[in-house]
Amino acid sequence: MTRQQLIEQILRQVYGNQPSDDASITPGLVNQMINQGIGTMARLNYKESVQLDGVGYVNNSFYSTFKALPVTLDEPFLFKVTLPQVPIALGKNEGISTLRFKNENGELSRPVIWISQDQVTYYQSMPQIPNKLLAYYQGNTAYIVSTIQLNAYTATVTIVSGGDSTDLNSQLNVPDDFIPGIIDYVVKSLIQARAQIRDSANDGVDSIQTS
Amino acid sequence: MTIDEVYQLVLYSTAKNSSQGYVSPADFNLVINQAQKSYVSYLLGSFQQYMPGRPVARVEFGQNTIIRTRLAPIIYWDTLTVDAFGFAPYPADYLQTDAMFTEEGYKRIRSVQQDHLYSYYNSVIDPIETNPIYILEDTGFHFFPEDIGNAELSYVANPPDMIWAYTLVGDIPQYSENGGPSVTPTTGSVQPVWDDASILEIIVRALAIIGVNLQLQTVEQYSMAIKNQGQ
Repeated sequence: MTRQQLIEQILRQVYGNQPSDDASITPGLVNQMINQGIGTMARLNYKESVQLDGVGYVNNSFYSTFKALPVTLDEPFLFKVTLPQVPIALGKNEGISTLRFKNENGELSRPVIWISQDQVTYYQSMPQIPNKLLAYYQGNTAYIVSTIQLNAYTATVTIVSGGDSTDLNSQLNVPDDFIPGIIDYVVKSLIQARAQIRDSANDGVDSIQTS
Repeated sequence: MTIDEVYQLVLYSTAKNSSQGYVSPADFNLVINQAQKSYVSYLLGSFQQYMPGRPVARVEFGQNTIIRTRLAPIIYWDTLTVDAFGFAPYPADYLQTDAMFTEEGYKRIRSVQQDHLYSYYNSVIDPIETNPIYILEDTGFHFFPEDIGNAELSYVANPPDMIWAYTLVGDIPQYSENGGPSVTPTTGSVQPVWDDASILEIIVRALAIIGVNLQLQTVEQYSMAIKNQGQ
């Protein structure tokens, strides 16, 4: 299923019909809410795995790989990569799976070793681990500690994500058994928004005060 | 139904040969076009029927295919050329927008009221570059982004005025379909664009106006009965 297909399905469900050209709920708004719904479903899947298996994980179907991300120097021996989105808050740093670097010949490095934010504070006192890159992320930025000049490479990252949210024709990386949960989340939010009092009078007074 | 048939029906309804009154061609041309405007207004939606918080008339354009079918003779399509300032004038016969699309891909161009312009213009979820909008101004449409180029407009037009043209034979007006130097007006008759069902709606509106003018209560009552209860 593509994002556009899910957006159309949700719009038709909210409007009970094909939306008209003056519909106020736009594909862009639905797309943004789908991202939030995906996060909610990934978290649900993570919790279910803990409850069922005693180990937290997210099903492979939720993962997406993004390639050719530029690497820039942040500080000496510290490089950064802007991620396509803020990773979902699973565990300490399990919203992101692997990060590798590719040279101009297409050769991939070994994956980085992720450390959590509290580990960041003491790893610098430790001796350098040979042939290993340590990394951590804050928001949508991944930081890589390295003595190698990584800005000559591009990054390939695999994260828990519904796919490329900027391309509505891209495949939605969510298994079908979690799609109804996303629809439920988005439709409820939209119907709640539609039920709000609207300021239909251009009288310089907020509608909440006039109603 | 031709304009002559419409006139004959109006004359018959007002009993032109009785002492109650006579509808001259000039009166008819005036009244029938007023009735036509009234009918279009009715199909577009009477805002007198709006309820607080629910601005919808009992009969309103877009409600269903029946109303759209009735209005179909005056739903036109035009390609607007938008200038560098994002402005495009209304078509000469423009009455109300039906829909607005981009020239390529039939993506919608949303209508925005001026008091909402700031929030649409500055939206980051739906940036206007990919979600164009327009506002209505006194003489035309103002588009955002202003470099949109062209736009496709479907609109409801003012219907062309119907004209019952005639020549005088003796002192009696005789219907003339075509124009000519002895015809009043010289351009000849203009036929209604409407289907027969709509024509009847227009006629009863014309009769209501005539009934008021001639103080013909029976004509008024007949007209109101048809308007309220249907044909």
